[in-house]
Formats: sequence, C-alpha cells, structure tokens
Amino acid sequence: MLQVNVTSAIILSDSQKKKLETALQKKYSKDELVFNYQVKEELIAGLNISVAGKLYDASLKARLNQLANKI
Amino acid sequence: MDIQLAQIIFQIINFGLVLFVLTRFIYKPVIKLLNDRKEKVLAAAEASNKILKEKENLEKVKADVLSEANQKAKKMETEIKDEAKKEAKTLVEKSKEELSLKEAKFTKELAELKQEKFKSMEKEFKQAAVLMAEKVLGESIDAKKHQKLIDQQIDEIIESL
Repeated sequence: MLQVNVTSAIILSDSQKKKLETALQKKYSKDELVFNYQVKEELIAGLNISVAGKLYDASLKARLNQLANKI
Repeated sequence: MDIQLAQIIFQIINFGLVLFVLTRFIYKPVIKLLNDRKEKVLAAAEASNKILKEKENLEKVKADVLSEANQKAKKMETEIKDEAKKEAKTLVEKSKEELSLKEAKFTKELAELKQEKFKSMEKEFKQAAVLMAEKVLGESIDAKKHQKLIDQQIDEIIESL
C-alpha cells in the first residue's frame, strides 16, 4: 500500500482527481495507492504531490521560493 | 861680515827655547782645545744623527699608526654602514610585512563585512520580493485561472512521472 499525498491551494475537481489517480495507478501498477487530499492556501496556487518518497512540487509558493534562491 | 859661532849657537838655543815654549804652552793646548772641540762637535753630530734617526723612526711609527688608524676607521665605517644598511633593510622588510598583514586583515574584514551586509540585504530583498509576489499573484489569480493552472500542472506532473 502506497500513500499519495496531494496538497493544493484550492479543492481539486473530480475530473482532476480522476486524471491524477489514473496516471499514478499506471505508474505504480504493482502497489495499491491510497490518496490523501489536502488544501493549503499558503501554496498560493497550484499543487504538490508526495509519493514513494518523491515530491512533485508545482505550487506557486515553491516556484517563488526557487526564484528567491536564484536571486 | 864674519860668521860668529857663538852667536849661531846662541840663536839656535834661542830658537830651541822659543820652539819649546811655543810647543809647550801654545801648540799643545791649542791642539788639545781643537781636539776637544772636534770631539764635542763629533758627539754633537752623533747625537744629532741619533735624534734625526729617532725622529725618522718616530715619523715612520706615526705614519704607520696613522695608516693603521685610517684603515681601522675605514673598516669601522664600512662595517657601520653595512650594519646600518642591513638594519634599515630589515626594518623596511619588517614594516612591509606588517603592512601587508594589516592590509590582508583589513581586506578580509572588509570582505566579511561586505558579505555580511550583502547577505542581510539579500535576505531582506528575497523576503520582500516573495511577499510582493505572493500579494500580487494571490490577488490576481481567480478561480477559473486557478483551475486552468492546476490542470496544466497535473499534465506536467504526469509527464514527469
């Protein structure tokens, strides 16, 4: 069983959740996935996904932090 | 004019007497006096020569002493000059080294201070930039745009899987 934590700045629509779950099931076909959805306004916009020790962070907050580090 | 024997004898005796008196009382004392004076002159000359020789020796000694003193003085002068030059060189090198060390220390401290100030300013600038961006973006993204953005990001994440 593999935990998938999805954090977004706003609530994801059902179609968005479905799209994401289908893609992740395809990628991790050997494991049973459990999805946890969470809303955090501090991300400003976008979302991040944590699965199998990997973090896919596409939030605006993360990009601003990257920008700040580059500055 | 007849030759009278008695008168001849008398004249001979008379001459002998005069000769004796002259020899005894004039010639010998004069000769003795001359000899004495000659000895005195010779002694004086010898003494004079001796003094001259001594004078020459003394002058030679004086010249030697002066020459030696001059040589010693020159040697001492050279040594003192060399020593002074060496000391001056050492002092200059030491001063340069100290100056170099101080300069390096000052440069390092200045660089550290600059770095510290720069970091402080950088941090403040980053915070200000992020705050401004958060403020502007948070206000400018409406729900529709947000949903579109999330759709795009889901596609990106799926591609990167």
